[in-house]
Amino acid sequence: MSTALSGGICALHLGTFTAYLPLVFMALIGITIGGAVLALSKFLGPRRPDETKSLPYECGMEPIQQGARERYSIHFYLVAILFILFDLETVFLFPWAASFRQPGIDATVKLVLLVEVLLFVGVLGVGLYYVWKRKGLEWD
Amino acid sequence: MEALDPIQIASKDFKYLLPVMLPALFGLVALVADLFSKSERSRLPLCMISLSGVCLAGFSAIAFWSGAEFSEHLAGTLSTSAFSTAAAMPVLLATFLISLAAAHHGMPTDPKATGWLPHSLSHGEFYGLLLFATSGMMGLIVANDLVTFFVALEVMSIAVYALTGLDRARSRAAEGAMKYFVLGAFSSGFLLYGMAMIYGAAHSVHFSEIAAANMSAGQSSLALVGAVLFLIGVLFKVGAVPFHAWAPDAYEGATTAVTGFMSVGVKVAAFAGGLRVLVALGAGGALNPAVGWLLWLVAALTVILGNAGALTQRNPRRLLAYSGIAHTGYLVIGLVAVSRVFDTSHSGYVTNVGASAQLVGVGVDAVGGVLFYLLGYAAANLGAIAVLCHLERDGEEVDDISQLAGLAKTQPKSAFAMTVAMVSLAGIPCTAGFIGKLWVFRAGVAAGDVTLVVIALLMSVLSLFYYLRIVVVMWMHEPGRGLDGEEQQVVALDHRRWASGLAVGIATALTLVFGMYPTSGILNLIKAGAGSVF
Amino acid sequence: MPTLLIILAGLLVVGAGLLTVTQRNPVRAALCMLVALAGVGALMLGLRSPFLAAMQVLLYGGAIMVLFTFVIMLLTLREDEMGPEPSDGSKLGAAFMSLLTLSVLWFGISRRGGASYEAPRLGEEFGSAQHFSTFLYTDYVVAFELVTVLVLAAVAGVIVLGRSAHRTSLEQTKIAGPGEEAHS
Repeated sequence: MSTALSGGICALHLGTFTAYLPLVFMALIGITIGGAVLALSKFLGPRRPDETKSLPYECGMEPIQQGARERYSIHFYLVAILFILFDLETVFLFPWAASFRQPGIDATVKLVLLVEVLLFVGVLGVGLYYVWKRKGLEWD
Repeated sequence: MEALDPIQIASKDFKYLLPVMLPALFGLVALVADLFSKSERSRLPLCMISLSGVCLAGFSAIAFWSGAEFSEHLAGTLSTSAFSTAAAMPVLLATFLISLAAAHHGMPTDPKATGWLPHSLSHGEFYGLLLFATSGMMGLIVANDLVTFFVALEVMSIAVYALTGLDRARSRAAEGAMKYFVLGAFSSGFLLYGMAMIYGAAHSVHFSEIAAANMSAGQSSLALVGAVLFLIGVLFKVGAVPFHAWAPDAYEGATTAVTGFMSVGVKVAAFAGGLRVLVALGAGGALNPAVGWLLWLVAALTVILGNAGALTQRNPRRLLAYSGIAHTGYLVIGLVAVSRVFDTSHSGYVTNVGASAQLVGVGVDAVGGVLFYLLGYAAANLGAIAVLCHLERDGEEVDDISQLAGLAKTQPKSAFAMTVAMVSLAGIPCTAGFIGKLWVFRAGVAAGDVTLVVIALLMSVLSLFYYLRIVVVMWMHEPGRGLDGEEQQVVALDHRRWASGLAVGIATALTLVFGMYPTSGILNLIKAGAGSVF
Repeated sequence: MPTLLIILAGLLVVGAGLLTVTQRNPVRAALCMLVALAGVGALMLGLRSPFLAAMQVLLYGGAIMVLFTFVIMLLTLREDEMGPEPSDGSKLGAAFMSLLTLSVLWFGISRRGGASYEAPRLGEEFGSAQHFSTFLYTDYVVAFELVTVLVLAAVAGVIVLGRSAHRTSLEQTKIAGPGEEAHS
């Protein structure tokens, strides 16, 4: 790494990096507690598996299928991919919301920002309407 | 970049965005309008929506983009000049003719049948995706920074991937779409990596600033690797060897209309966008002679393998796919010539006082050649595709050139149009294909790549075989007799297919007009475009 | 310290990436990829882009990973369906291509003829959501509006490709005769 490159990043960083320390600690605490619980139950808990206990848990009913490794309907995938597309929309709205209420923004600038985002949401709203009418959200 | 006054953008600059956004708007209208159509009888209303979108986009492109001077808008993310209009014309021509040619897709042959073929039901999605892709292509042509370039490229690609797999009645469609998508995503990765490196070397994503950067001094290796990775991404989109593996399967799997749209629209937009980035990189000093030689190798391999692959094809879509690869090769010769301009021994390039790059001499010749070639290729290839769409019956498309046997006797107009298209694709004089080839080859010779041009010439001669074979089959064979003398069903004339007939007529007329009377308007536009890349 | 973070995150990403391509079990490979994606998030944090880092974890580590697991559940390859273990030749070929790519990239960033890269000058607020939005909604408004078209095209593509995927009877349906409507 050249000194210019890493030096630049170093200089930029030292101030802000400590802000993420709580995050690191939280991750460490989470990993420790989770790991400890798993390890304790493995070492201390009695294990006497039998036929019934090894069945997949299904709220007291007879399990529909043997284990989780069975083929699922493509419908799950369709819903998931539609979810991601509209999830993406909210990602674009988040920075917009963060800047819209910033103090010191001109009223006309605000208007333009509003029009831009209304266009975005409006067009994707029409997209949602299209999905709805095409029965993309129905589980037939 | 200084901060913008949004009001100023809103009032003044957004009109430059119209040719990009109008197709998308009409695509949305087509998508929603299809939800309300009660009967599945006809695609014509949607076709009309599509045509009006294309026409409005074309008018606004001529009105707002055609300035002979290169100018930047919207914080430098868009740039327009005559080059944009000249490159937009073949794209819009493709959308226009494909909209028309596909208007009767799936129409039952029996005049009393009311229903349409089930797999042609997705009318709205077809026209919607067609127009979304057009929007991406237009964006690619005028994009002036790497971010906009990439988003526009993805708009185009995603829409075209979906269009490829549209015809679910054929399992080949799914296969073609899958290959295209996976390899396309892979090439997007290359493109992005290249962009990141170009940004690292030039410290800017704006093309003008990349062109003004001095990358030859310190960051030469970073810029060079970035340029090569970027070019790999672009060469994939145009289907150049060795990045062409997807093309035959995708073209064969897709519906004929989509094949035509892919082969013309994607190629034009990727070449136009790639050319601008190439010039920017060259002006910024990111290219060294090695890039020129890599492109040289790609061009040679592409013309050889494209033409050789086409020789044995009997499926017309697959044949057009390989022929499209070959034409990509001829066009890459133009890119080679452009990259040579930036070698120190050439003089096709000057830097103006205003630090903006300017091509002269060989550079202008190469860009003009590429632009004219794209227009001629668009007209001829769309003509052939429109004839194939015209001959589709009950969703059954022409899958073997034997089915064209004796077409001159049964449908002389279609046979004539197909002949003109084949002759132009082969590059025989009096057609647009000839002038385009002449122009590009001349630029290649002027740039000093005589060997490459000789290879391309030899391969053009070879291409006569497979183009003229179709002509021979149509004119010399008896109707109903295939290539090997086997029985073939004769495609009956269907007078209700006026829209695809119109598309055939327009494409043929344009091929002949561009070839025999390259009207001064078109020539002036292309010459002005070649001089105003930057 | 941040350089250390970048190096650690980089090692994590490379290691997890290696495990992703070498694992035979698709679920384990997906988990390794999750680690790699989270590592990329940490890299972005190290490059002072907290907003992008959050979005990386949310979108890639969250949403895209869900898609991957759905695909795995959709296919649920059994051991015998996975095909033979790749031959040593193809493994060597893959390793060679990776090393070739690595050396090209190394060539790109290492040799620079004496001159050194300048780090781009970034403001104090660089990488925050506000800063991101001032770029996105003013300078790059064209790209932003094109994203709308991109999402629309993707939605239409999902509907048209996914819808017919569960209508298996399409091929058998012929043209409807007079009086019948071709509904499916």
